[in-house]
Amino acid sequence: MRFILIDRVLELEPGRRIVATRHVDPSDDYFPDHFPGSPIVPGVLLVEMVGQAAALCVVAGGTDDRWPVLLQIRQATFRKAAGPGADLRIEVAIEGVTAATATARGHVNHGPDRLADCTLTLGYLPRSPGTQSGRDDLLAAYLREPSETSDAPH
Amino acid sequence: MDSQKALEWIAEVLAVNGRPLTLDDTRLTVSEWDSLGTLLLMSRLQEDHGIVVSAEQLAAMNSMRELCALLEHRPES
Repeated sequence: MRFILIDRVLELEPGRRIVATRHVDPSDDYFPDHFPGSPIVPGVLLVEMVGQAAALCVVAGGTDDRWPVLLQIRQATFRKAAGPGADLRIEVAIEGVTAATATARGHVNHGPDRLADCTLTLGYLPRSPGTQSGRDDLLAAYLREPSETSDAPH
Repeated sequence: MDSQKALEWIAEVLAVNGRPLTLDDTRLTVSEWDSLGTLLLMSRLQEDHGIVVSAEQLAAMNSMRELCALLEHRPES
């Protein structure tokens, strides 16, 4: 199982703000268990979406020699549920940065419905030179693609 | 900020539950004050109080008394 929960970056202000999307694949293998007959996306994955979007934003802001990692879920609230096939929108603002941490506040929407909001503290792991990940591909794709919703560089 | 409020703030940041912190507590008596706790303190000192300290400076502190001194010498915001 790959663990990249962001499909596409729609808007990006490096180190400050990011908007991304995720299509919930109906074939995701957690649905039969979460819950039988009433499949919904686990709240922890919504938080992880915010964390991954925040990490992309931080990396784009110039922290490409370290991996941002989740240190703390400072606050999280789950307000509504989404099921298979939902198109989710993840919005995150980086609100505080120190030499060793970043604080991100974000939410996940399904259409007009707010599914979850949370505040996270990120730290960093050293990143070996030359290592690549799917997260790099997401940023590269954003930089390549014309954006319909922002003034992103093309 | 007085010592009592400083200790309460530190306890909240480090998620110390079940007992109040005292000025005599140290890294040895507060298990939550580990490397992660140090990073969380660094982050929240800046966000909540505008106090910028490096991880190295914070790592060199060993007692609640030292941490509280940081907060107590800060003008009330």
